[in-house]
Order: sequence, then C-alpha cells, then structure tokens
Amino acid sequence: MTHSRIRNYVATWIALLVLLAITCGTSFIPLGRYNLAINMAIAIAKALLVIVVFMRLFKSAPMVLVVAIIAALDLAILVCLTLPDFVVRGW
Amino acid sequence: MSSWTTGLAGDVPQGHAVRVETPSNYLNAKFTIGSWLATHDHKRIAILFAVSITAFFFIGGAAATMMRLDLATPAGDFVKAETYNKLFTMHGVIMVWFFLIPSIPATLGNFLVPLMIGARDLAFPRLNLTSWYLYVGGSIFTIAAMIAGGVDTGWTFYAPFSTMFSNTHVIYVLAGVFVVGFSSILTGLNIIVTVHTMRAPGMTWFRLPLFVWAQYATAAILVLATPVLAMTLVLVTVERLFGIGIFNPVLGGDPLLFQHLFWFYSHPAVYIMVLPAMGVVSELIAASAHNPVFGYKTMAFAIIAIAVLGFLVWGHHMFVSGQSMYAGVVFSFMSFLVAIPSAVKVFNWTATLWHGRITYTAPMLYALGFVGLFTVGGMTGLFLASLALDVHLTDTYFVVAHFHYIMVGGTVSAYLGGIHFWWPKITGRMYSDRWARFAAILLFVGFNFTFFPQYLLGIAGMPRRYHAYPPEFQTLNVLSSAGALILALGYLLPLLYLGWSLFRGARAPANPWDATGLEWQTSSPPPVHNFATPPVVTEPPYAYRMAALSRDVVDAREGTR
Amino acid sequence: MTSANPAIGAVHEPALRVAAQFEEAPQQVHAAKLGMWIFLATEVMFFGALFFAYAIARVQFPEAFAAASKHTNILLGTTNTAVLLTSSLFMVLAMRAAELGVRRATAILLVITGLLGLAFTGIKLTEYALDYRDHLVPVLDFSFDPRYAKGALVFFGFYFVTTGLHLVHLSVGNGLVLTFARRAWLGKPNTLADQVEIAGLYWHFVDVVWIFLYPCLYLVSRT
Repeated sequence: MTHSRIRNYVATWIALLVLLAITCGTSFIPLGRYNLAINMAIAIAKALLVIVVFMRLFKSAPMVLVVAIIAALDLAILVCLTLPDFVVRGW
Repeated sequence: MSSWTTGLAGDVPQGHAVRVETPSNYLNAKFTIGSWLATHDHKRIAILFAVSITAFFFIGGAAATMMRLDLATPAGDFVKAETYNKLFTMHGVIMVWFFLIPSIPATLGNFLVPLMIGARDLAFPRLNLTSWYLYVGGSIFTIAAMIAGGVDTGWTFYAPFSTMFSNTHVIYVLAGVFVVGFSSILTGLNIIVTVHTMRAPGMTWFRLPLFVWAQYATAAILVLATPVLAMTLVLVTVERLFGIGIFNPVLGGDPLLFQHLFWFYSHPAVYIMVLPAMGVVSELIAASAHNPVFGYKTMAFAIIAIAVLGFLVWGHHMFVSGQSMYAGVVFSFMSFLVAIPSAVKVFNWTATLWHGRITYTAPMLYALGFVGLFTVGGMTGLFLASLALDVHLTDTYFVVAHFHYIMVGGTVSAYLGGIHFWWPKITGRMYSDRWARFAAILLFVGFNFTFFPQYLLGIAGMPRRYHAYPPEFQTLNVLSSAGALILALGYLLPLLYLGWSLFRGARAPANPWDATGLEWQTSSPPPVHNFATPPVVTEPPYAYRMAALSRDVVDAREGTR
Repeated sequence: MTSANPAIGAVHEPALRVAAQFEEAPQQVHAAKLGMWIFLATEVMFFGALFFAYAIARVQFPEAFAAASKHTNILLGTTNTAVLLTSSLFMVLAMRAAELGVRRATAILLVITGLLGLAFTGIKLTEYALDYRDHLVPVLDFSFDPRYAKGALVFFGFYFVTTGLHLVHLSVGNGLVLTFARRAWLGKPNTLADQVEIAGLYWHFVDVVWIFLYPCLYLVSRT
C-alpha cells in the first residue's frame, strides 16, 4: 500500500518531466498556432497531475473539490465574459 | 474565568453585604489595553472593528458634508475644483473600503456568526486579529497619504488617468487599499470555514439564520472577487511606476482591460455591501413581527442567487465605455436578472409582516426604512441596466442617487438597525428606544431629502463629480445640501444616546426582544466562550410559529378573524 | 493554533493539542485544510487576473511577444521548471513520511524540498542578472529591436511582474517548509502530518503557477 503510493508519486514526477521535455522540444518545431495549443494542453495536463496526485484533490473532503471547482468557474467567468468583448468590439 | 454568577453571590455568608455581581463576560474578563489589542476573542475583535469603522465613517462623512456645502452654490464657492476632486475621492475610498465593506461582515458578522451557529469562536482567531491589524494599518496609511496631499482619481482609479496623468499620491492610496483588501479576504475566509466546520450539533444548513446565510455568501464574494482587485491595483502601480503599457493605449495597453478587471471586483463588491444588510433585515423583521420569515428557503436561495449573479453583470458599468455592444446586451440582460431574487426578498419581507404581532421598535424602523429605500434604489437600478436609457443617465446624479439609495439607504440603515438590535447583547445595556426611534425617522427623512433631488438632477442632466454647475440646478442642489445636514445630525444622534447607554443604560436581559436564535440564549453580554453549555439545536430557525398558532386559536375563539 | 484544552481529542492521539475554539482534533484539521484550499482559491483569482492581462497584451503584440520570448534564457528556464517539479516530488514524499510517522525522514525530505526551492531562487536571480546584462530590464536598462521595442517592453514588464510575484510566493513557501523541517527534526508537533500536508498544498500551488508561467514566458516562439 505504502510502496504503491510512493511509486505513484515517483511515476507522476517522471510524467511531469516527460511532459516538460515534450513541451520544450516541440516548441523548437515550427507548427504555427499548434505550438500554442500543445504548450497550453501540456501545461493544463501538468497542473492537473500536480493538483490531483500531489495535492490529492479527490481524496480530500468533498467541500475542497467544491472550492476548487468554484475557483475555476469564477476564473472562467472572468475570461469568458471579457474575451468576447475584446474580440468583437472592433477597435 | 472566575465564576461570580448571581447565583453564587446569593450564597455569600450572612453578615456580608450581598453584592450582586455581574456574571463574568467577555467585556469584564480583562480590562487592560493589551487584553484588547492582543485579543483572539471574535467579540472583542468585532468591537475593535466597530470603533475603527465608525471613525472612518465620520471622516468620510465630513468629506461628503464639505462637498454638499460646496454644491449649495452654482459657482462652487467653498472649495477649489482640485480640492473638490480630492474630497469626492476621499469620500469614495473611505466609505467603500474602510466603512461599507467591513461594516456588517467584520463587526456584526464577526460578533454574531459564532454565536448564531453555537460555536466558541471563529475557526481562526489569530487570523481574525491579523485582519483587523491589516485593516487599521492599510486605512491609516491611506488617510496619511490623503492628508499629505490627497488623490484626485475618484475611488475607481480609472486608467490611464491614474497611471499617467494624475499628479497626486495614487501609489500610496493603492497600497493602502491593497492591504485592506487582504483584511477582507481573511475575514471572508474565516467566516466560510467557520460556517462549514463549527456549527453546533443539530445546526443543519437549513436551520441557519438568514443572517448567517448572508454572511456566508458575502464571504464567498470577498474571497473570490477581492484578489482580482488586488491584482488590478498591482498592475496600475506597475504601469504608473515603470511605464509598462498594460492599460494606457499610448504604451500599447488596453484601457477597457482596467475597467473589466476593476468592475469584476467592484460590482460584486456592491453585493458584499448589501447582502449582509439583507441578512440583518431578515432577522430584524422576523423578531419585530414575531413571525417566522416567509419562505425561508427561497430567502436562502435568493441570497446565493444574488451572490452568483453579482459576478455576471459587471459590464453594466461600461455601457458607454466603448465596450462591444453585444457584450453590453448580455450584461444588460444579466443585470435585469438580479431583480428577480432581489424582488423575492422584498416580497418575502413584506409577507413576513402579514399576521405578525408587529412592535415598532427602533430596529424595526430601520429595517422598514431599509426595505423601502432598497426597493427605490433597486428599481432605479433597472433604469440604469437598460442600455438605451443608460446612455442618457451614465455619469449623472441619477447614478449617484441610485447607489446611495442602496449603500446608504440600504446598507447603512441595516447596519444601524443591526447595531440597535444587538446592542443589548453586545454591551449588556439598553438604550433609549424613544431617542433611537427619533433618530431612525430623522435619518429616513434626511436621507430622502438628500438623495431624491439627485434623481431629478440626474434626469435633468447634471453630471456627477463637478464642483460647479449651471444655475438652473440650484434649487434641487440646495434641497440636497439641506437634507445632508439633517442626515449628518441623524448620524451623530446615535453616538450620543448609545454612548450614554454604555454608562447609564439599564442592564439588558438575555433576550430583550423575545427573539429566537442561539445568540439570545446566552447571557448579555455573552461569556468569553459564548455559551455556558454547548448548545444543541432541535428546531428550525424563527420558531415564532408556536406562539403564532396559539394566538390564532385565541383569535378564532374570540371571532376576530 | 494556540494552546488550551490538551485533554480534548485524547481519544485519537495522546496529548493532541486542540485550539480552544474547536471541539476535537478532526474538526480542527478539517478547518485548517479547508482554510488553505480557500486561500488557494483566492490565489487562483489573483494570478488568474494577471495571466488574463498577459493574454490580452499578447493578442495586442503577437510578433513582439514572439521576438521578446526568444531573448529569455530557455536553458535556465527549463532547468528551473525541472527543479521545481522535483521539489514538489520531495514535498509529497515528506508528506507521506510524516503520515507514516517517520520524523527524521520527514525532516530530511523537507530540507531537500527547501534546498531545491533555494536552488530555484538562485537560478532565477542568475537569470535576472543575465537579463540585465542583455539590456532586458525595463526602466533600469532596456534596449530592443526598434520594430518590436514597444511590445517587448510590455513582455518584459509582465516577465518581471509574474516571475517576481512567483518568487515572493516561493520564498514564503521556503520559510514554511524549513520551519516544518526543524519542527519535524525536534519532534515537536503531534499534528505534523497535517501541518506538512497543508504546507504542501501551498508549495504545490506555487508549482502550478510556474507550470503556466513557463510556456507563457519561455515558449512563445522558439522557431
């Protein structure tokens, strides 16, 4: 039990380093706007690994999950209600 | 905690004079200044907050009085234009951040939330004290900057004026507000965790008093919105100090970004101010009508709905800013939606009065004043939420009148009502209800004299933030200024009779209003750890129904229905 | 948490100190963890607003941001990311050790975490020095290809604000981690596991902020 947990942590760390290598490596390949997409997808994947495995999001009290979701939603509100304005206002 | 209870005092051996000692409570436990400045007791910290915000209220009020004096004549003879700009900035900054936002959460909320849920203290007492020190440090720093020369940006700090053009102490005031913001965050965090983890046995979510629901929703807004303000202030500082183009278009920045970020905080901040007031009023009306709050669950859900919608409407401050008109349409629609839960609350308060046994005490007068003034303020808010009408009304006195009806007529009325209602619990003394009722009526009259003319001025087209105006606006301005003097008198009166009551007031019983709620089940003032025995909750909130039922039986028997 | 009421909570662990306002230890631990998560939610909004402002500026100056990003030091930046990710591994191992009650191991793992944090700080400061050498510090010494100078100034403004705020947060974390390392070594608190977990939450969050900063600053355009 103990060892499997520690093994999980180490595996996550390796995954994080591999993702870091991928994001750094691909950024030297000209992929146009896909560079940005890859970088952001990998950043989100790495963040989720840290939050779920290292911060044990799903093993915490249910309210902790609620707090995390509300924070994410509130940030989404800020972005999603502001960005359209910048896109469509035409100046 | 020496236990000089009245019961024990009665057992004093014969021959000694029988001294009826006041039971040990949080006020007489210790008397040193250190015992106040280093206290971890939420009740004492609440009083520290109450004293400091009262001081700032009168400083901010003095600035308002000077503005009203200046506006009594069209030429603005009293102060210079620059001074006028600094006065309205000072008034706004102080009233918003140093009075209204901490007003109910940090004083009544701090005092009452643990009592109402049956806890011994907030979850993080040291954090609570830290919050007060941050508040005092930040606000005194700001006041010092204002005395040293002032700021002329308005409380909104709009960029690029604040970042490139203003030659006043912008950075210092930003720093002060930044620090006070963290005080808000800590108070909010404390309240959320306390409500989640420290409720007494049997105190389920739907047994919480609406005051606690309101504090909880407010705390959530404090925690989620304030950091965005903090970052906005950091970015303004960066642009002003280092010339990095974030908001100023000349440097490549985007001025609307500032407004989006600022109002993302500052619109929810309006609900930080008014939601706790709604909580207070629910308690006051239920207790004074001796009736359970009508539609308790809808009231709780309405509080949550207002808190959530509050995050979706900030763009209505930007209808004429050059924001995309499609964004304007969405924000306008969302703003109209806020009217629904607000109206639910107003109707439910009214319905709570139905068949109640109403006592017109001072707290009740304040509460009724709140309902009326909030309704007027809310209805005029709908005018401003309408895109086309707002083009005419933006930046006029109509807006000033609208938000003062909500902030002053609403929040300050509720705050004073709450202070009067819980005064016996907080201080253990009764005040003169006759004087208090007089002050409540004076405030109501003075308030309407001050701000109703401003609606008319706004419709007529008088812009806000000008120290001089065309002569045809003078009549209404003089009315408003005269009203402001009545209002000022109304605010000074409670200082006198409440201050008097501290020394000469009759001792308050545990439950002078015959109200429900755990805070009334402990002695007045409460002991250091709030309850002699930990309370267990067995009934829903506002259990006035048993009394009401028996009254119905009597009514039916006597044939009065 | 302050003293008082050593007796309460004795069922769970002998001589567990519970603060006066709580009934029992699990309640106190739950409150502390929830409090830290709510604090992290405020940090999400704090840094979220900053990232959002960055995004708006980047849309404004796509070419200048690409050009400016090429002048950041990708070798040091990537090394630092790896250092920080590794520190997070040691943090989580320290938490596990604390849960298992192995105090010495906890202390050693926390010290390694803290040393990695200090290494990050050292590398970051070196990078700042190199940036200064390359005339990339706004206000102090800034010169850039005139085609992109305006946007590059904004980029490096964000670069210093974001990494600076991150570094401040990291330093607070370093203080926490080393304090708990000392406590673990001295065998002081009996709520060590929970304290380490809460410090860890903060540490990992600071890591997450960096995970997003890294592509935003170093990888805008490398081709």
